[in-house]
Amino acid sequence: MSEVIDAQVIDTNDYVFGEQDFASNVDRVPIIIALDISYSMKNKPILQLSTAAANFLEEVKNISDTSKYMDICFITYNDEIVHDGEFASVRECKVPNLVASGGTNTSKAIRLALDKAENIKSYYKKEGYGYKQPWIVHISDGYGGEVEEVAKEVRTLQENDKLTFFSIGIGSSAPLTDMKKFGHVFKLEDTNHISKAFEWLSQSLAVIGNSRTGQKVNIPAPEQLYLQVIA
Amino acid sequence: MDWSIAGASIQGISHVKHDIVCQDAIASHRKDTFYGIALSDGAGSLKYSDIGAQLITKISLRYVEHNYDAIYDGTINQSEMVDKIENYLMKKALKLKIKFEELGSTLQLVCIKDDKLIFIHIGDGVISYVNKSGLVEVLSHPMNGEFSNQTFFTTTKYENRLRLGIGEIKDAQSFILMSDGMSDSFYINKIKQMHKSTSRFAKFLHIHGVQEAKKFYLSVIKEYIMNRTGDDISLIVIDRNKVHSNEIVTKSTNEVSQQVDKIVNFKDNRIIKRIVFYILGVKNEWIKKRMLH
Repeated sequence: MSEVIDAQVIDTNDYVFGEQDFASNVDRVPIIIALDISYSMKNKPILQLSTAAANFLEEVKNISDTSKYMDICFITYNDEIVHDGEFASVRECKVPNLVASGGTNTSKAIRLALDKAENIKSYYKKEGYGYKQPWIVHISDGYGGEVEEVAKEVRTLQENDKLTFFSIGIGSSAPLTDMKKFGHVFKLEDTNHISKAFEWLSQSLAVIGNSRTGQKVNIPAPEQLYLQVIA
Repeated sequence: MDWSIAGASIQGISHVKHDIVCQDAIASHRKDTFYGIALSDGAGSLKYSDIGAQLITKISLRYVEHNYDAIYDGTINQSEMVDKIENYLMKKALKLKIKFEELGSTLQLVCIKDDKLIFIHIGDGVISYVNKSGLVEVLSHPMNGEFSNQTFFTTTKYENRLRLGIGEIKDAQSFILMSDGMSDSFYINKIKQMHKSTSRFAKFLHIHGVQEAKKFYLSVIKEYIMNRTGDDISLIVIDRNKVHSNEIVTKSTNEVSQQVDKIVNFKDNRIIKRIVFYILGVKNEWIKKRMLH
């Protein structure tokens, strides 16, 4: 008979834990921001969108440990995909140049966003990262073309807790019929408040990012940020 | 072969704040040469999951103790075992006038008899072991759903979700069960391995004994882990007191883990060695279809 661990030298420091003695598990949060830059967004809306998106990136940099868990990419579109961005950490991510032109093909942009969400999930799985549901944030003035098919897919994914999708419709006269097909729409009456939409997004991401696995979280109410929820 | 058992289970800060009872449960059972430990984490969304966690640990330990040899040699297959345990749980639910579905919880169980090992795992949390060299290895990884905040529970068609392992103890010195509240701090998701510091729990029990180990576990949880999670936190450790002389020399340091890896990687490797370590009563086709996706 022999004591197995007797052969080892027991250091009393073994029983004092430091930060290095714990696993550092951070769930990734993929965020895809799809921006409508069609001609109808010209002048003030497109400028405000550009500024607000840049401010958003600055703001989320200040969220504790943000760079550890967020992967952001931008898509811009009119009747074609204008910018098909790669996922990048908050610190490396840049807002693409936004120039309003062309028509609007929302379906194509959201299809691309869904493909990107699926691809990044596959990457996380392959690399062994934990991750939270992908977020897609779609901002548009509402003119979007035929979206039935892709909207149905988005709704199904949301119902199965596989996607978090936010539609933000901007402008008081924005026709939101098509956007509502994706689920709830947060209507931003005044384009001056575009920045508020991004503020709300960064606050929500802070809450999500700071949450522990399995923990229920309360995302700030969008109504407090000049966003009207349209069912 | 003698084994010592120590554990700790503490209500998480988030549950204290919201006046929710501790939904984790740990239990142990010993009879003659049988030693068993179990840990369960009740589903946060279910009303009576704390009761479910307590019941499933006790029921499953007793069931495996009563049927150890039959489970080990495959006379009782996995489906039969699941049905029996589920049936016991349903009877308890009926007696308590609780809906069976509200008892959902995860389950980890390690049972030892002589040199034989049986483990069961449903849902998240980790089962690990420490070998005679003091190295910690994962015996059963978390069985999460697609996302990290989803897992499987005992009441959700768990014949598809239950991982059953049978094998020999070989050079394993200790087995450690951790709920996700605990394993989030010790299981490294990216590389799917335990942090080496995990072995301290086994080492402490081995050297200082059960009572001191319980105090140590509580102090580590309160001082360090509660700052890292709002979830309930539990672990339970079983440690071999003595090693038979013929087991010391020859065994590979990693055999149990290698055996498990063969199961886990079966889909890729198409290899299974039923003699040494196998999924009880389960045909290869069943494994391909249901278990390892």
